[in-house]
Amino acid sequence: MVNENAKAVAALFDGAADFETRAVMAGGVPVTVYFIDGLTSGGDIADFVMRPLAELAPGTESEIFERADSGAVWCAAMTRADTADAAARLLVNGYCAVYIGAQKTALCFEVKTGEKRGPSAPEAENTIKGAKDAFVETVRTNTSLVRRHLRTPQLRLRQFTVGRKTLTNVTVCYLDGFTDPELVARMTTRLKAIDVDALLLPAAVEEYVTGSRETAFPMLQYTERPDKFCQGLLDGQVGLLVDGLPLGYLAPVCLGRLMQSPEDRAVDYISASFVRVLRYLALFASLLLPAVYAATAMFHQQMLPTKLLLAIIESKQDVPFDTIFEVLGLLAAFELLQQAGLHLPQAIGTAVSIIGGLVVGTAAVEARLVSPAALIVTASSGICGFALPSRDFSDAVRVWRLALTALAGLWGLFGVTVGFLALVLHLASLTSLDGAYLAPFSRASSGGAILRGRLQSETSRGWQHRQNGRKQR
Amino acid sequence: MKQMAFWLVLAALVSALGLWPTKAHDAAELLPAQVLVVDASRGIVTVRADCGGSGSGKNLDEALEDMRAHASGELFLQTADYVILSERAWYLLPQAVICGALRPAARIIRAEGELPQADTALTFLQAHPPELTLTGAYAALLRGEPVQAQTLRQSDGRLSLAG
Repeated sequence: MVNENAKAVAALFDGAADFETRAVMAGGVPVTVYFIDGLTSGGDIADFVMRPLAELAPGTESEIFERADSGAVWCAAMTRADTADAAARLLVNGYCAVYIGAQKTALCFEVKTGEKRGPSAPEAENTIKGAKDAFVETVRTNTSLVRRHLRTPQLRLRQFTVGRKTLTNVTVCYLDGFTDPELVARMTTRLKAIDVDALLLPAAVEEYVTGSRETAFPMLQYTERPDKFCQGLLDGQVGLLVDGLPLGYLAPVCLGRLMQSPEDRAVDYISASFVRVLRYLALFASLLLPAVYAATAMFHQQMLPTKLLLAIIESKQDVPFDTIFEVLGLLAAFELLQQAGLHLPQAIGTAVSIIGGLVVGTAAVEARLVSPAALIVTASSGICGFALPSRDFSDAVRVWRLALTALAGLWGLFGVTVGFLALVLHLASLTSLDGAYLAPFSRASSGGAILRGRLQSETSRGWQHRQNGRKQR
Repeated sequence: MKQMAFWLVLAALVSALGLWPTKAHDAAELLPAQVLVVDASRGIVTVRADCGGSGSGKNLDEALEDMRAHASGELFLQTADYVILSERAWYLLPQAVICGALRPAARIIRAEGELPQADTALTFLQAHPPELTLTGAYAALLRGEPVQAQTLRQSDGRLSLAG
């Protein structure tokens, strides 16, 4: 007796060292069990699949099949696989496939291994008061984290498979009745249209989902915090959980959302508003400070207060480089230090930061290679960049910072203005899932974009009420 | 975005070839003057600055231009906070108040007797800032009122401000 589908499944995994086969008898009928070692729990297979099968009373092939299908096997989740491909997909998702006799349909029981990373504290998005759980690489764990924060039955989780080779499970999350159905449809359409071999990397997710755009600014918001993810769903965004990535993605994204931090909702609205204003000031400082310094020091010295100008002139005595080369060189050094710190183990990375920042920076100033004023401006600008909640947005701001500084060196404040206008035009042209990137500031009444209102005054009831023009935060 | 980048790169190329009309003067090249001492004798106006520059000419503008031409760096007069006019050069006040090279907020002082050294006067005036600015003097002239400038005197090597 030959089970063609079973043979086909075995042929698909031909030679795989972790592809396991077990032939047993169930009620006098030969049964073949396939599973992937490492993705499944051998103990669960033995206790909850094979033992019940072995203890079945004798019967015909179809009787054994029906009994196994209808509960004789003690497994909570069971899926039928009619084709070899379907069975193979379930096998790589932690199922075991049971072929009973010559039956072409496999009964696939979920026996996933418990070996996976458990939720831990967020690494990059820390808050003092907020929850201390973060997403992990396993999508099912992530969906459970989301469920724990949003226990409403209106939470919808739609799973898709993306990537011909990776068969990555991607889950679209939204709140039925809260999220604009058109947004969900757009996201779903984009996911279905992705035809790639692999969806492994965060950059791949962002580029394929949003469509590759010529911009450094993020088109998807990501977070490692389930509470921030759920807040995004409550705000009407569509969420995306990708198996293998400890991140939750949210769309559409706009400038206002990228400037919000989970900490804003952990404190009172006055403190939160103050911090948000500070954050916007930090954004402008990070973007413009080096450029304005270069422009005023090279073209518009009369704009500086006399004492400040005299201090800058004195600090630049014997420095061999022009201001623009000083500033650009320091910005480049700053970037290199960051990259060096990223790619090294933590202990060495800390030492590199100390060596680069203190020793090289101090030595460069004492050797009169750079002026203290330029070093202070560059360092202040960098620190202001770290105050931005979104890492991707901060990276984009760094790129534009370099461009604006270069323009300042060419044409002074005129160049800075041209560059800033180009930036605003560029941002205004961006859309995220067909939503404007500058959305919170595109209306005259941008209530809540910067100053956070009291939570009691928020009457968010979903996208329909937003469309009716009720006051939002 | 591509179009914007194209035009910006083109403009940057023009600038790099030196064809752009504006020119940069790095702060390190500047020779800032904080005090100007103006004197006049036999129709010749002389100007001295605390940064070591000096110049002469038939009027104030010519003297400043002469000082700029002979300075050891890029003379920067926008940092000049104090303009000291001697008794003989007080007639140059109408020229000083409309001089484009000087900041309107610069203080104007009348010096009597021996003219002080510019750097000595700077230290004194920073400690005892006079009140009248070029703008205030200009307003008084336009109204036809006498200009009430404070007087700087030097005796026994010590400076004093009266008025």
